[in-house]
Amino acid sequence: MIYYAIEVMAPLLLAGLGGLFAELAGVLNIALEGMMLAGAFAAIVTASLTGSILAGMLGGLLAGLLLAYLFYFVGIRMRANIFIVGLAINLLAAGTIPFLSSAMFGTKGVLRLPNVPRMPGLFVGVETGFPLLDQILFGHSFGVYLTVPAVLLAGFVLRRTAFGLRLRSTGKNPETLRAVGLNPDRYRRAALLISGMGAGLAGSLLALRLGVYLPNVSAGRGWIALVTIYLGYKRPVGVLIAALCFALAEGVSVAAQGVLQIPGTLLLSLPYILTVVAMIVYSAMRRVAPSDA
Amino acid sequence: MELRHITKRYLENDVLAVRDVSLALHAGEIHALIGENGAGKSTLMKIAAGLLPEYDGEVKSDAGKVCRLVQQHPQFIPQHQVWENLFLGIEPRTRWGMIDQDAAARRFSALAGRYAFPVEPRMRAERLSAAQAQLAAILGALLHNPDILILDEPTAPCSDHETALVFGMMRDLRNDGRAVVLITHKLREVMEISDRITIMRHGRVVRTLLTADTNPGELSSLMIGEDCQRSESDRRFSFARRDSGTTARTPLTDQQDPATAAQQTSPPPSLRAVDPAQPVFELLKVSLVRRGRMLLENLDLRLYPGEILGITGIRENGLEYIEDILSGSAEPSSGEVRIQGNLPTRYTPRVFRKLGLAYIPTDRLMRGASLSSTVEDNMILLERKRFGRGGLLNRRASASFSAALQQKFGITAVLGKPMHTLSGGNMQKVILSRELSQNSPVVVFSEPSWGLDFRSSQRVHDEILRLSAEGVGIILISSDIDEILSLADRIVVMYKGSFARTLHGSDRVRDTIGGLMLGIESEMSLAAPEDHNHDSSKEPGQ
Repeated sequence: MIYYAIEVMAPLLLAGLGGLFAELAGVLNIALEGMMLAGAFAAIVTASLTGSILAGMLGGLLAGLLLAYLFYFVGIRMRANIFIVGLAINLLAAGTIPFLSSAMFGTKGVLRLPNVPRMPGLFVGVETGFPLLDQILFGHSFGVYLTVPAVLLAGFVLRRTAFGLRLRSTGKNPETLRAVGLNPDRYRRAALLISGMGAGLAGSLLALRLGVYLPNVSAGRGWIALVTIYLGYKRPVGVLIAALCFALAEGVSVAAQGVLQIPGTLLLSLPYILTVVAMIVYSAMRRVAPSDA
Repeated sequence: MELRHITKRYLENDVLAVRDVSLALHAGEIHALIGENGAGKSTLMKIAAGLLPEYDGEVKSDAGKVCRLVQQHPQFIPQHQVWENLFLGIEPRTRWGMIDQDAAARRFSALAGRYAFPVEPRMRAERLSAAQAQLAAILGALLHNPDILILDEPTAPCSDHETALVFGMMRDLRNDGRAVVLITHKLREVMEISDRITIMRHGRVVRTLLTADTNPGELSSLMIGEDCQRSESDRRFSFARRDSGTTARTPLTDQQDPATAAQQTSPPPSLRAVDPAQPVFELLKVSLVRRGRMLLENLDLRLYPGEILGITGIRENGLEYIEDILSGSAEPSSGEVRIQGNLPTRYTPRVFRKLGLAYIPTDRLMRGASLSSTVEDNMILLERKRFGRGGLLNRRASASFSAALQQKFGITAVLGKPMHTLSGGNMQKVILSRELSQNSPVVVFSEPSWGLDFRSSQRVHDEILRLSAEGVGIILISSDIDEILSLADRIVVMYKGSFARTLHGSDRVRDTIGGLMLGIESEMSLAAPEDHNHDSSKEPGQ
């Protein structure tokens, strides 16, 4: 169960970290879901064409990047409404992928392509003697080990670099950037592209772990990733913790299916119910917090 | 740096803020820029600092010269630390774009230490006091190593000690051969620190002179202007009305017993069924404290039917807070507000309105109107019940209602157009028509002619006089002395959150008001005994 939760956490965390950049730059990227989906599809296709996991991940990343640039161009450059653009990108991904899938491979359903390599596991079989620790640390698929450096990197960039400072300032008050002669749109663009890469990569992990593309493989994880940003108080480590919570909930719901007498469909909705509860708790805490300050 | 023939018109509200101004700034000199509110000082300096891109005229300066403006209310990102705010855009870096925090801290400490500014770089900006924020903003400008430093009322939030620190910094820059511009209202500071003074009034430069050649008295009269720019007919009209309407409009002073005052005056038939001896609006020992700062202190005020009570003063002296109190937008920290003798149940504009108070705000764009709604919708805002019909609006009735208002107030805009397409004058008329359609016995006007051209403000003034003749009690908050003088029966001058004095009759002299506004009345007699600015009347203040 723990092992499964860690596997689930990885894509959630990557999408959440990417979304965090956009959020901090003042652009709520509600297109994470669509970007993940596009990433998943592109990853399977490129992996099948090249026979390489890395190329598949790169394909997923580029698909997310492409949609993110579209988001930037329409939403920021052309000043269209961010929410409409975000929704449009989600719908675009959800609508275009079945079309491409049926045009290229003759199916709108499960896409099982030849030549897709299995995602390799790392540290398989390493044991410390503590089963719980082993489950957390070892034997995970390759993508999972990307996520920890990603958290550190995000923290470093946001906290320690001039780029990070400017990006955060953009979200808080773009006028202050203009006052010192910087263009806030540049930082919004960078943030959106980062979020697109994160979401695309996250999608590629989802699909490559399975080795197939399933319709709606993201299953709302893009939205949950959005929630982890807020739940994690807009900090990389916070996003990590929030993503872990959701992943555990999913792990529990999957594991409990076989044990408990509760209908499986209800159990599987646990992460989503948790999302709602978490948001209520979060907003309640927010209301209390300012009076402390 | 030289500014040549600068003209700036704000498109949003069609205000001509700066008119054909030329000004030269010299290195190694502290140049004071003084003038009343809205004289165009800040706008001119924003243009000089390159913050307002659209203007007519020419800003000439040597290539590579850095000009920084410290705005009046520094804009920091509250959640970020002070140094993060100040080094934004000029971050010292190490490899890979990393910020060199040590270098930043060193530069900051060196600068803060040099001028003994007590600002902690690691503090979150939201925790800075107003004075610290001001000092921090000045340090931020200095980090850019400016050749020209412009300070917009830097000492407003400062104590004497902090003011001395700022002045020390200014002198240091001057001695270093840089140009410093000080925008201020405080004549004492001007005399103390500046080398050269430019006085602005109504968007124009009145005069530029050397500090050594002048005195506070001369500056004060140049600032406030001895000549009245209003047309003679305007004044004649208002005086004529004042003469004819004396019976109802004898100014009742707070010192007078209302009962005896009532015996002296008999209301003309045109007056509504109101008792002229009963105040329609009262403030009783009202104070307003925010964040431990006393913004308004112990204000007493009584407004009688048919009276126009003017409240004036210079910005930062409580005028904006008294607007909030009078309109119900802010709850007094202590004291009472009574409207027609009633205490409001809650301090909201809605309750105040129900008790009979109409309010025409200064900030018409934000408070006065819904900019994206149509003119008609703005007019019927207060008439929800009247035009409501089972959750729908009776559009036919509301159309005839608004058409009637349109005609009555001479509004030349299309009723179906959104409010933001209107000129400042029309917008004010729409707000007036809505507020006055309620026939409220008390009307609060705040800066009613602000941003309006001459004709439009004329119309607004006519309306104020007409209301007063009908027996409506009017409070006119205005920083325009001409407006106050030509309209008000009684004038209250605010200084540092208190009513400095109430003036009526012969006291109502421009210079007296000017002196009270600037708070230099007592200083004047010390600094310039030959000056004519002190007040002969010994009428005690409120």
